[in-house]
Amino acid sequence: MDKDILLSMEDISVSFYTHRGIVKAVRNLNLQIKKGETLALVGESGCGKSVTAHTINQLIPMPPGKIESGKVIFEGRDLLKLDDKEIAALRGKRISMIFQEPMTSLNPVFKIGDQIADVFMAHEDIKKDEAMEKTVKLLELVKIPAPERRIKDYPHQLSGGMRQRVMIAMALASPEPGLLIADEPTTALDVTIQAQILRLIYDLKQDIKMSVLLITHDMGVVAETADRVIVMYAGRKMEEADVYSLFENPSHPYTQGLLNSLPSNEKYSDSTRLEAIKGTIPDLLTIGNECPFENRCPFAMSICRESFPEETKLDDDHSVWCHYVSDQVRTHTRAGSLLPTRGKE
Amino acid sequence: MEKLLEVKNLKTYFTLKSENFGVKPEVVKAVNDLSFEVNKGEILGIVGESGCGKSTLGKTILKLNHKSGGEILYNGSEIFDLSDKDLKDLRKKMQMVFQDPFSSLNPRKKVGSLLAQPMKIHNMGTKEEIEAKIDKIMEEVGINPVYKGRFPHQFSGGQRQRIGIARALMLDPEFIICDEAVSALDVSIQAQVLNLLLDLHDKYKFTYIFIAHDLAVVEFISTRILVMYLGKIVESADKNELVKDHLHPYTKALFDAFPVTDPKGRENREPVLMGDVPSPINPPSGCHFHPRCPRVMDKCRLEYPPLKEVSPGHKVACWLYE
Amino acid sequence: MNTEIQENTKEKSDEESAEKNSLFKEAVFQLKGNKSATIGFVIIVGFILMAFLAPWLTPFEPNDQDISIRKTAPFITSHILGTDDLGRDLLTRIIYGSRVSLVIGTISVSISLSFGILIGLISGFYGGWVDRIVMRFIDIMLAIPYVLLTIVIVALLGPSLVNAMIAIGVSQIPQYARVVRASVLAEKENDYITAERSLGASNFELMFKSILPNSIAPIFVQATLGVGDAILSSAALSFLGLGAQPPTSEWGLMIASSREFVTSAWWIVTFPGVAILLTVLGFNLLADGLRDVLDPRMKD
Repeated sequence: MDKDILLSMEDISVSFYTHRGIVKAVRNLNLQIKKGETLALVGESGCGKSVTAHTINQLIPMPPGKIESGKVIFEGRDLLKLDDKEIAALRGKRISMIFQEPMTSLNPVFKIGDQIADVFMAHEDIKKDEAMEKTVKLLELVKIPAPERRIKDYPHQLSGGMRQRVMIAMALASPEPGLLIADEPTTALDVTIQAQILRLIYDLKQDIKMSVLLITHDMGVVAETADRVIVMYAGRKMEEADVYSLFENPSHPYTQGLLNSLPSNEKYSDSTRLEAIKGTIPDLLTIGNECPFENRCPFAMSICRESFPEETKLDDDHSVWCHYVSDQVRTHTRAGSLLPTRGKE
Repeated sequence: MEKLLEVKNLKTYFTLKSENFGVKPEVVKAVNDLSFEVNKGEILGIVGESGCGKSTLGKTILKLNHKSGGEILYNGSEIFDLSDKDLKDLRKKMQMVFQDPFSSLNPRKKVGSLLAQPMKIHNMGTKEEIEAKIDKIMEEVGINPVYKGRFPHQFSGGQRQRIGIARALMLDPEFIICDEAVSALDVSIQAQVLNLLLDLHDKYKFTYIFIAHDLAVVEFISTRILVMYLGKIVESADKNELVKDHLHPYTKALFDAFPVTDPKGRENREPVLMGDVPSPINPPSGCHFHPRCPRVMDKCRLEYPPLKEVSPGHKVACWLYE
Repeated sequence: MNTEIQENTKEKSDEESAEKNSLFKEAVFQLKGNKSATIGFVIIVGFILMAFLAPWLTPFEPNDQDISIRKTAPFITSHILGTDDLGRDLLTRIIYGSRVSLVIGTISVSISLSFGILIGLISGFYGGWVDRIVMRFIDIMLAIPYVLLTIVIVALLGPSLVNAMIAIGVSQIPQYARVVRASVLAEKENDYITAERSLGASNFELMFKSILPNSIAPIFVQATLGVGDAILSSAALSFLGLGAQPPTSEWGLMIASSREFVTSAWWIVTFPGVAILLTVLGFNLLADGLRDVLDPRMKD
């Protein structure tokens, strides 16, 4: 086992048993987060990114949810085998989470200073004064102006951006930051505030080697903060790469389509139409073993309807799960080049 | 160019009533003395962050809100002075597409009756004519007319938004306000809907006001852009001009804050704009942007700068350009 | 047009987007799985059947007196639940009493419902000073004890079953008005109301065709509860001599006219009491079930 790896999920499948049938939300997912790394899970709604995150600290409502298979290894233990008490001991301490709407995760009746100081006091044997001092320092670290006064504020007195900073501060209050799961942390924020929070997460990562699992639908957010990226679609992993090669060389047709759908894409400076992905996401109730993107994919072949592809390694840290790309790579390798397709230009 | 809509010194204030005795009611100046024009056939983008008043502005233009002062002239006549009958006739020409495809469609109505409603309200067409029109419009927005009998919740978000657009098209309008029309959609669906709106624009020569917080979307779809901050226009220019040469420090900050889909060089990005968006209840004195502005001067704290034309069609409200 | 017709209209099947059919069918489906609602429903159906089939359910007439068999104990003779102090068959009177109760429940709830909806709709939709005046008036009505209010109304109109129904109906209007107003306030904020307004829909259309159908769910719950309440109140009024007059076989009146025999002939008081209890319980159980199913806040 690699010592650098903080968390690894192996062959995770999660389903929801609804009265309409079984929704296969995540299927055979593998992922690893290294210490000090920011891994982004990116995809559109229904792709399973949030379910994956919630599997880690077991926030999936069961029933209707059910973890069908797999392991979540965190610091040598399989989290799925822990009982409620042991999980509760990890939550908020070794594994913290920040949400899209920070108001819902802060206790509205306590001052924010007390809430953060409580986290300190839960970990260390220190007095309230000392914990408060540490809280002020922490709020400084997350760049909250005038922290001595802010600690006396209640959550509703803060703006959305400030609340998100407080949430990040709480995640950092544990002695040795383990894993921070950030579920769409900037989606509810204005763009200038989002830029501040993204910068903060990026800076903190440099300074204190925090490991972050970033859940987002926004490719821009990924490019600004992530080290490594997993693109998910309809419960499956489609592409995994380090952030530079993903944006340099997006190889899965879905990743390409996603980037082409962005109006900010440079190629649209003179164009009046976007290259949209046609169609809609398949029904997760009826989906079988096919590649879930098959019905929208411009390169779909007959094999795509039959089986989900195996991993195709393009590079040491760049893999794609796509029959078409795998074909391309095979033919190109024979021809002496390893460059996969970039679409039908 | 022919003017379709002229807004002069428009103000919309809201009074927040206090439940406590003796507390002075607070006034939100959601739209604070705005003037601009919309020309026939153009796509005017209005961009700004939450609380800047862009949605209130859209609703006031359609007389879905009150106004506290100023004029809204549609084809030269003030819409707030129209008789009920004339206003109802005008409503045929002006339509709106909403942000939330979940709440903007009546959940108890089937798609067929949702789309029939506009024509029924205005007593237009026979039953057969209405049905034929519904089929035509549904095909046009990319929803198979066989789904007429379904309820809104049986469609996905993107399809619901198409239905919302279809409803706006039923009365053959000439002017459509899209209020965050694609913000709630996934990017791949958002791209489809943006293309649809542009196709319809080409085909019917609609005039659009496209309101959004997403600069990239506004930049892509608009021909001209207004940037708003706390109830005021801070800058307005043709799209290409604004992209090339944004003058107001706030516009600059918006462009800088937009996350770029390229990780290269992210270590040495420009410092981001600090501070929060102030509450519109008590906006800062002088130029509302001055507490966050990196180029603030003494004058900015005292007096709000006028919206001044610095080059043809490019207006900016900033003391730097006086 | 670039957009091809999308054949695949199936919703992305996240666990939350569960609904497939109309909201009504969905509600029925969920109600079936709700134990208390099912029990309540069975009781109510039994109650209604009893009211409609009364003459075929019993060989006796409710008002046939036979002094010779007065105060016959239950479960001994063909008078299964025994007879009362005038020798009338108790079971027959209870069965016929369900007719009276059903009428009282439906009529008084219809009165409160129609006025309550109208008042709540106008007050919630227009808001402003209309709302303030209406709501203060409602507050005053709610501040008067319900029984007292009913008694005052009956006292003004004179004691009779019809007047009791009117009194119960009127005194319940504030409750309904409040429920309607609250759901109208929530519903009118939705974009689809703004959308329909921008299409040119009139206030009347908005209120009655769009808002009302969408805020009907809590009103439905309130009305179901209200039938039970009305039956109970009417029994109380009759007990006090302000409602149904003898010899009507009304459950409350039956209890009242035989309360002096509670020690000598317990059944005369007990069985009408049980009838009231079961019926009211039935409506309350169903209302609880409906609330669980229709109130979105109870879901998830």
